[in-house]
Amino acid sequence: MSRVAQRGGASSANRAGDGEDICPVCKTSRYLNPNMRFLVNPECYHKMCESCVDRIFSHGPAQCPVAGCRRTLRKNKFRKQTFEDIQVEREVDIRRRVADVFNRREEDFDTLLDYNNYLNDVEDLTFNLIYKIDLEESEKKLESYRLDNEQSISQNKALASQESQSAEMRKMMEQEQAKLRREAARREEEQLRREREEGRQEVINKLAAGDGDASKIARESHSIVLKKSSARRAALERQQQLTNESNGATKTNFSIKGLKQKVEPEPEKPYDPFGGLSDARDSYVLQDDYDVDWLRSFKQDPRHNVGGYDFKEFYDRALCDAFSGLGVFIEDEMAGKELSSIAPGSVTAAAQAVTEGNTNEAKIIAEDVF
Amino acid sequence: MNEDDLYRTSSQYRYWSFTPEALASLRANTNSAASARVKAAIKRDGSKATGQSNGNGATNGAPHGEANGHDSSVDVECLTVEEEAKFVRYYCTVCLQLSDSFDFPIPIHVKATAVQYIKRFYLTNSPMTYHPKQIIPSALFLATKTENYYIALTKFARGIKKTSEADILAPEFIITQALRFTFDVRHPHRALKGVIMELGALSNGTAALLPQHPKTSAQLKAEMAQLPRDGNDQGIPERVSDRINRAYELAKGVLGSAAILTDAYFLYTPSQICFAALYMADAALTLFYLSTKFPDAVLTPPPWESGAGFKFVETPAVLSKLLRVLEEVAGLLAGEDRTGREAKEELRRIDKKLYQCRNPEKMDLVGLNRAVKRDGAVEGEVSESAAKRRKVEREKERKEGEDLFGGDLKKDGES
Repeated sequence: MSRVAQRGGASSANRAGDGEDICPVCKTSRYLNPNMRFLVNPECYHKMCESCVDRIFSHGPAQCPVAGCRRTLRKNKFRKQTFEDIQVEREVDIRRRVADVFNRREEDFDTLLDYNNYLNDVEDLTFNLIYKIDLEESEKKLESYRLDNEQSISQNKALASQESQSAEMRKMMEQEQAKLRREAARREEEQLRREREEGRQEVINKLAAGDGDASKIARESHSIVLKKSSARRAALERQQQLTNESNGATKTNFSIKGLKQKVEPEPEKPYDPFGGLSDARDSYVLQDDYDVDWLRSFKQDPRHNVGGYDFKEFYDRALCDAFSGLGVFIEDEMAGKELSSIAPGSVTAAAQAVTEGNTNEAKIIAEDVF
Repeated sequence: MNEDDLYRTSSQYRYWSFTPEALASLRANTNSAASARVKAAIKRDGSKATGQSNGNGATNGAPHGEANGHDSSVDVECLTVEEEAKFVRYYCTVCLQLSDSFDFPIPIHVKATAVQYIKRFYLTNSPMTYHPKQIIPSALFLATKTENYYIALTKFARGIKKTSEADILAPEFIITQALRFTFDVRHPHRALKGVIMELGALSNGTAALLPQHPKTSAQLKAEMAQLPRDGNDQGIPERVSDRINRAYELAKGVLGSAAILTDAYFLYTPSQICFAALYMADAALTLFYLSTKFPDAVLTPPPWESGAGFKFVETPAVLSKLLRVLEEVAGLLAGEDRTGREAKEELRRIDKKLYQCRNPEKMDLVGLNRAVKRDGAVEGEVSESAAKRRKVEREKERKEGEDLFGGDLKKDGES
């Protein structure tokens, strides 16, 4: 996109060289006045140099000097051109003007459909204004809407400005805090270094004084350093907590009104291939080995000592068997079950077939292979 | 997912666990349905036989001698639910004997699975429909397969007198159907081994205890050495390891016979059956072991102070309930009677009665099986329509095959 724009600019410069840089009003070229600036007025978007604007409009409103254009322009409306294409410049201006008036938000509407309809209407109006379709009527519409909804327009405007302000504030606060943190870390490091230095000096002093065991002194100093570092860590943590709390407090201050509360998506859990199944056992702890008479012969059997055969598998299975179902009381658990669901279909179907007589022989065969 | 939840996922829990009432009503339903079918079948058979002047081979000498009269077939006296239960129970012991009679050993879990298959099969089928004699070898063979203890069919069939390979395979599908295609049977045998392993570790003082347990393993070892020997447990040896071995052997015996022959598998979980068997063998030892698993429970009086009255004073609700269930199971297992002379008389009577009320249509399982496989055709003679259909199909297939292998191309080449 930008490249296209550049190429366009370059080509136009090549084409005219001076054509673009010549004021259409006074015909001064950039060659004569290197500081020349072009300005436009949103009334008619005719381009002219700064000195022309000064010359023509310093004494109050005057007609546009471009031939055929009879609009009255004022000096204070002249401004620097933002876009190279004058049509784009104009469209942006119109859109800005419309958006200033039609500044309803989505929260103002009951349903999304209403909001979309509103946006559609606004876009229609804007389009008419840009392409000058029913210009008079559109302008009238815009004006009447502005007058009717002055209050809500100003409210929404204030809201928007507040939002942008608060966002800026938050950004600033964050920067400030980052700076503070960096500083604290630096101080911390400095202190640590100093303490270590001091400790070493002390050890050397003690050793030089020559009272007590050397290794003992070294150990003592080491433990002191450790204690200090652990104390500092605790202090650091406390401070961190404090800053977190203050963060929370500031957040509540800068709550943005009217925005929908966003629900944080739950962090994805690590993948569990067994879907929550575990092989943990409640009623026994498996040992590596069990010393029982009837197992000894198996343990010496070379067929069971080769790879692929694990006695622990047997131990686990036997112990699991011993307890699987110990707490299952069938009389209680099966009491609710209906008999028909327990009994295989053949019994009931066969009985039915018999009561219905021999005509249903086929049915019996279906249930009974013979 | 703890151990109990693991058990709840098993098919044994979901399909084969019943309350006593549900079990009884299920059996009553099966019995009434089967009697109705038997009566209808005998009536049908009788009318067919009289219509064809008694020359029907399909009945295979069916017991319709008296039933041949036109209206007497309705008077067939069927087996009652109790008679069925006794009969099936007897044939469960026959199954155990059969599995011991082979010249290759059959491990206990295969036997137990086979017996459970028979029991489950006769929950929804009646001996009047399928005689246990036909079902037993097939159930045992099926159990060897599902328990991963492979025995070749020929070898297996050789071990059973007067039984061919076809006899063994014929009822296989109806058994699997009655089992609702759930072959998994949870047994208490391995559970007992697990308990004994932990008891051994406790007696050595090397046991890994639950993290919330207040005592050390050394303390428990000392307590274990002073466990009381009360009541009928007079023969309990002095050494703890001997005591554990004795309890193991006794419990193993109970689990190998009474546990698999009663309805315990339907009514309780294998873990409860295992602990009940151990409880029957050595009550004090079992209570002590359970106390290590429930740290809140308090055993009192301290076992080394008084010989008798070894009980829990303070029990969590689950434990007291469990103890009640264990007593129940122990009662059930202990009440399992051995077949005496009287029982034999009774069985002979039931057998005679069954001879009169068997379903004549379900006697020749091998033939029925073959018929199912052959689309309802009888051996040796193929029905006309079926033969015609097959011929047409074969013709069609041949034609399609020719088309596929380029009959047209050849013609093109020639022309």
